Amino acid sequence: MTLEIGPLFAAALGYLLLLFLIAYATERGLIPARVSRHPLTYALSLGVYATSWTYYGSVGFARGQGYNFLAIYLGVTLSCLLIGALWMPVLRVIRDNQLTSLADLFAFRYQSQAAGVLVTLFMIACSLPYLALQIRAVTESVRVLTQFTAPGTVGLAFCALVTLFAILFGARHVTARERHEGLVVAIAFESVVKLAALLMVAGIAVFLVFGGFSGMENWLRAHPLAVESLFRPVREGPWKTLLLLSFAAGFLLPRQFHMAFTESLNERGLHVASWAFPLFLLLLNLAVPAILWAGMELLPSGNADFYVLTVARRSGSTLLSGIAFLGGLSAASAMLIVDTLALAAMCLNHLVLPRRDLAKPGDLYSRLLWARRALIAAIILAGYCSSIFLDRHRGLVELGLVSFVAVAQFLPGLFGVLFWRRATRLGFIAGLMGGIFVWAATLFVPLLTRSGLLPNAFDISALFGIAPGREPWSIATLASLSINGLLFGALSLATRPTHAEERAASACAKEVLAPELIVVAATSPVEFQERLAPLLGPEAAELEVAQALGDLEMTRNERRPAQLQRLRERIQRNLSGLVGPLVARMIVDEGLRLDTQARPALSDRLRFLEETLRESRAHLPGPAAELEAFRRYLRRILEDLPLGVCALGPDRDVVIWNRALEALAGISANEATGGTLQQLEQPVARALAEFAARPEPQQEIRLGDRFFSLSKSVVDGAALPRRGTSPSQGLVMLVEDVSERKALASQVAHQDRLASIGRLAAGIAHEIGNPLTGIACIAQNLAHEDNASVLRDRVRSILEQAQRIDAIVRGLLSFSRSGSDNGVQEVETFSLREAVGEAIALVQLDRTAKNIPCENKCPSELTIEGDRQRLLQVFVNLLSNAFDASRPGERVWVEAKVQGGDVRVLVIDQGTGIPEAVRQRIFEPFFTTKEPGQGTGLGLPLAYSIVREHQGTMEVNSALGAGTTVVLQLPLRQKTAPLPRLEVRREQVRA
Amino acid sequence: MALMPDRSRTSDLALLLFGVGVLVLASRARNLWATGWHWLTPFVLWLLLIVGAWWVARRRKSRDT
Repeated sequence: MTLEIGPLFAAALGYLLLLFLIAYATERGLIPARVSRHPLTYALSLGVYATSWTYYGSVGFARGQGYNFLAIYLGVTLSCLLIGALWMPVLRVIRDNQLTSLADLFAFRYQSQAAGVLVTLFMIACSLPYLALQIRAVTESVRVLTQFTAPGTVGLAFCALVTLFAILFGARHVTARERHEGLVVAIAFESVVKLAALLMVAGIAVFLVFGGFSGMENWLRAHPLAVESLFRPVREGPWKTLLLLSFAAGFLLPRQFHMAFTESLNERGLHVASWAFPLFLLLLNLAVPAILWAGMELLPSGNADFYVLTVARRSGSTLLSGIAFLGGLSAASAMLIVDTLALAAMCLNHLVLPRRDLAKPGDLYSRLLWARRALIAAIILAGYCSSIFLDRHRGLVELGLVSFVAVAQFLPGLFGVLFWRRATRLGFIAGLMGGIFVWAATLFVPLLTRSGLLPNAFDISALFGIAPGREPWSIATLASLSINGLLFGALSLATRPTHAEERAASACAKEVLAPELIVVAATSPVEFQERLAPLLGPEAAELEVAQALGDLEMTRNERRPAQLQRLRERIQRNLSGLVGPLVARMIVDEGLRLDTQARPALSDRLRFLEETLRESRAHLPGPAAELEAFRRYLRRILEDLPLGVCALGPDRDVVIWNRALEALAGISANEATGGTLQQLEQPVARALAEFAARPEPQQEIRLGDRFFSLSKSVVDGAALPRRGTSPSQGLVMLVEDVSERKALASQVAHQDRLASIGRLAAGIAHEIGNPLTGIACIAQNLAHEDNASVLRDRVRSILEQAQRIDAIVRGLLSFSRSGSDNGVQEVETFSLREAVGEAIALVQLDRTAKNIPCENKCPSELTIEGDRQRLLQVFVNLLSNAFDASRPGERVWVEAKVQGGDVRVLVIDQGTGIPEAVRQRIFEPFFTTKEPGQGTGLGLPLAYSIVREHQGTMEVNSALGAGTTVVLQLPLRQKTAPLPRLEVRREQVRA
Repeated sequence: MALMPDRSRTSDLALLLFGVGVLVLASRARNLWATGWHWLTPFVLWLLLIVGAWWVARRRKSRDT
């Protein structure tokens, strides 16, 4: 049965249009995300591994090499078992550093443009036979089905359609980093198609050719060599070599690397792929033996590479033959599309961009996109030319294995990426070049000579022991990998990695890095943009800075050095996804230079270190994990302290700003740390900055209607990481809310005053009663008095008595008032003599004090500064005690004199004195020697507290029977200003 | 400061399974199954490896969640 070329071409076109439709529907969101982003979709997209080689070539390979064809897939399965150990670290490096290809990975790890160029050129060279294989499989399949004898036309049409698809759905985004969901779904669909088609052909083989499974078993019994010939090569052939090659190819082939890592969904996708992808390959290969045996039965001397089509044609159905053809077409197109995308990204980043001026006028992104599209077309065209010129008599598998051996040359380099920090760029390049030389000598050059592209004299494979007619794969693999590994190891050990290589190696190994002591010279995002503009063009510079700011959730006002350093790294990563890691590094190094003289702040280093520890927490080994847990515990304690904690580094940058302080100041730790207190431009921060500059270790401040006690301590420099010999001395400040304590103290003082008034009540009644009686008597007599001068005299007497009462009441009111809110000091300058006189007058209201003369010896010109009302309370309390301790006739007096900047006030009595045992406790609250109800025990403690608040001292000198002298030492002028009143919103103040 | 390796690479079960896979497929032990008594033998072994990989992935998923 022969098919017509027209309908077959229409079917191929229809199939590729269906692919377009699927990709388009996915990109437009018409296919639900739960399908397009499902891990199984991702696993199926890895099925791009199965190309025409698998679809057609496996049967041919099985014919000649038995079950050796399975090794091509069992090696991948072994590789998938190491997804957690091998694929996942690669994925993380790729993700973390915005890399897009294997060339990017090696160029990044070995910090070498030459490495990137070498890998790219080698990849192209080794991929061309593979691309040619796909195109040839399609043209040959058309020839087998239709006897159409113009393979060039078929190949060209196929290449044109594939190019169009790759450009439309594989190069939609400007950065290769962005996932092409349409492409992934289309490739997954292609995997389903080729699996279904191959199983269908196997079904035809079993049921139509053999008449069912029993028929096939009977055929096998009749042909015992058919099974034996499958197993024999496993025992004798290059089985292990093929396992090794496919192990590497499973994730290092350009298309595999692209689908596995660049288009990767997430780590969960990889876990599912670890079993789903091998299962897909198993199902695919399960069909091969049946098709092989059916082909042997139908066409024993035919080309086994196309037994799939031979068997399909046996069905006699045009539809089934067409489906079998489409299966092969899907295998070839998927490989071509993905391989080309991967190679185009490599070429762009490593061959084109390093030689281009990115700042040329015009849209950079558009230029990059078109460059990638042009490269896609060029690579497919090169593949097409290869398919014409390469040896047409070589089997599909043989062409594919040329690429497999080539890709295996990246294994030593990958070992250096993931596990060997000592590996150097020289070792990598030398090893790879050695491997390439052997690969070229044993496989590539013989392929070209047999194709007539090179004279036979170039074929030196015999030097490696490859005899004509003998399979070259084992020797080529062994020799190339040995030389590669040997050179890689020896030269890596002979040379030292550069600093950049060491850091890249650590980044690849996901090790915790000590923060690099660097500071970016640019001081703001706007300056970043200005410096990048000459290199990227103004529009691209603006967009890249905005993108990085958005990624990091930063604002354009950011000024903190550590944040700017993060911004620089982010820009470099983003550019890496756009133009490759090395061009990105060149741009950033050139545009965003580092200030090598500047010293990074402690807060920056601490913050970076904590972030790095947080990221790698899950991976820390035992003691380090415990230490990290303990550090977090201590950090948590610091964070949750009910006291505000603000720690400053040696450069006075904020290192710690805990939650209590966040609530108090209304500034988050994220905003506060890294900068100086002055940069915060906020009242609390300003108060803290002023306090930090003062010599006093303690201070009280007022924020709105609340009071806070500030205290500070210098952190010894020895505990801080330092750089060079520079001084490093930190400062830690505590902020405590003392509002309630202040309110309580004020309340106690008020109670004490009321108690004093209560004690004076009888005397007050008497003092007020006497004038009132006088006024009443005078008033009675006034009714009978006519003499004007007498009347005036009486009225004056009434007024005098009323004034006396008024003075008493005023004094009482003044004393008893609760004071200003919350006991704030209201500093004023007043006459000490007047204040003491007022206190004496108050105390003398008590009738028992009448017989004790009290003298005010304070100089009349002496004035002091302080809270008059509170100091009045001190004098009242002290004089009350003095009167209580004095017997009638004994004197009490108050004297004062100036000493330096202080005034020394003495309250002296000649009373009973204070016993030693009592004297030791007189300042204890609620301690009293008076009868119950006579004293509160708060008088002296309160007086002491008030004197302390005035930066004064109080001491009591007493001897039994010789009286008591209380000495107050008060500053004439208050040293500190009244408590600052800071404008802070009430809600900002933590209650 | 001290460098801390990424422990996520060492998934003991996966490595054990890989070791078993290498032993069965790549060592001389393959002569035990490559005797040709049934053509499905390599597929069965392959399936067992896949079941092992599925089990490891399932354990990892339950641990991660």
